[in-house]
Parts: sequence; structure tokens; C-alpha cells
Amino acid sequence: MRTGYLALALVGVGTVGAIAFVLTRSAGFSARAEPSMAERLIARAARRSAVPPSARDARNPLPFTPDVWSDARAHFADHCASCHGNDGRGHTELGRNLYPKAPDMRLPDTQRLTDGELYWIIENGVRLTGMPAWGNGTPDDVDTWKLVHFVRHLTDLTAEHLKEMEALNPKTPSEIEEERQDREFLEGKGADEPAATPSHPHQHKEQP
Amino acid sequence: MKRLITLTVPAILAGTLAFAHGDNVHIRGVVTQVSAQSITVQTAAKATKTLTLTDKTTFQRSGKAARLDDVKVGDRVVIDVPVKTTNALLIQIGATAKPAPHK
Repeated sequence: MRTGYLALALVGVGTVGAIAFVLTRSAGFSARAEPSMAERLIARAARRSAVPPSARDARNPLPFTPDVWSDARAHFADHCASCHGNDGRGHTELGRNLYPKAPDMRLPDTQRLTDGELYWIIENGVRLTGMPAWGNGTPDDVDTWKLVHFVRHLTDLTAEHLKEMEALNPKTPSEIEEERQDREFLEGKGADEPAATPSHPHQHKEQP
Repeated sequence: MKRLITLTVPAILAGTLAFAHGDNVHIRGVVTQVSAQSITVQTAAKATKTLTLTDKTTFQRSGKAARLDDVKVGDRVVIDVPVKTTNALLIQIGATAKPAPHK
């Protein structure tokens, strides 16, 4: 009887494996695809189990003040917005094309995480995703706790905040050069004739 | 370690982004016409481009917020236009272009 169940299980695994092999051979793997429901469930469970219970229950030790809010926006714009976007929606060139895609952090999937879980993820990253470990794993990194506040206050961002953050986003050498040319053009330096250039796009900006 | 990541990741991202496409196009030109609905500029290639002003259009002069009233014919401007649209998203206003010499 036990041998029969074992054989049945092996046949099942073999069948699933064969189907997966055929699908993979025909369609290949692309990061453009959306993760399947099964992958999402497994990934969420793995992310949750990756955070030790003691870290999960940690509370943000920093009070939320205007200075903390300001520091957090600047830090996020410089370090995180390339993937997550200044508004945390993940609508960036990188965020949209990662596998899994950068999440919209305003939504419950992220907001349901505890402060401790958010802190842990920022500090330690998430394996098999684009999220790197930004810290050294200590439980008291002030900058990381500020970012936890930032995630919690994403819906409080104003158009003015987003404009300030844009100025702090990392820039490519071509963007820096283009900004220099724009500045010189606006100041009336160089040739008197206007120079119109379809520019390199500002890839770090969010999509509407 | 954090400093190393801080330096390395943007460098990697920069390399990736240089090949990316999308988002905004920059147009540099001199204003030839401006109204509440649109702005027309002449580019270096002597091309004329007319862009639509919307409620999302913002204005800047020297990095500070400005208004439509600040845009005058003859001003140099740099306009951000989202790809596949003719909407002006951001208009940076600069110096007034020198008038063409009389012949």
C-alpha cells in the first residue's frame, strides 16, 4: 500500500516536472512576466519566515518629526527611488522590470508588515528579489528606522515633496551632461541659436 | 559596508539606465507664442513645436516655482514632455534670447 502511494507521488512529481519542462522550453523564462499566484504565495511565506520573531515585534524607536520626515524623503530619493519610485509605487524602469516587480508599497501587502518586518527587510534585503541588504543587520540603524517612517507615510507625500525628491534622485552621466547643457542654454551661454535635443529620458521619474 | 553598497548600487543602476527608454523628452527652444492653452517654441533646427499646457504643467525659473505669466515671447525655455504626448509637464524659463541682428 505504501509502495503504491510512493509510486503515485513519483508519477505526480514527474508529470508536473514534465509539464514545467515543456512550458519552459517553449516560452523560456522572462523577467517581464508576472509571477504566478503560486510563486507569490511562496515568496510571501518565505519573506515572512525570513524575519526572526524577535525582530518582527520591534517598534520604531524614533518619534516621527518634521526633521525625520525630511531626512527620510532625502534618503529614500537617493537610495531607493531608482526601483521604488519617489512615491513608492514602483513605477520606474527598473521597478517594473524586476522579477518580482517592485511592489506598490502604499498597498496593504506592504502596509500590513510590522515596523520590525519593514526594518528587517531594509536592513537584510529579500533573497531572490531585487531588494538588497542595505544595512549591516544591527537593530538600531537610525537611517533605516527613518525609512520605516517614510514607508508608513507614503500617502502623505505632496507634489512639492516629490519635486524636491526628484532633485535628489541618482543621475546617470548622460543626465548630468544634459542638465549642464540645459543650464547653459537657459543662462544664454554658448550659441545664441536655441538647441533642441530629444534628450535621454529621465528614467528615474515615475510613470503617470 | 553600507557605504560600499551606497556607491556600488547606483553605479550599477547608472549603467543599466543609460540604455533604458521611456518617460520624458526635453525640448530646448525660444518662445515664439504663448497662451493659457499652449506654448510654441522654435528649436535650433528651426523647427516649430507647439505644446499643450495642462493643469499639471509647472513652471520654474532658476530652480524656483514660477507661473505662466513669467513666460514671455523670446525667452529661452527647456520643456519636459512625456513621451507620446504633446503636453508640457515642466517648463524651465531662462534668459531672453538675443534678438537677431538687423541686416
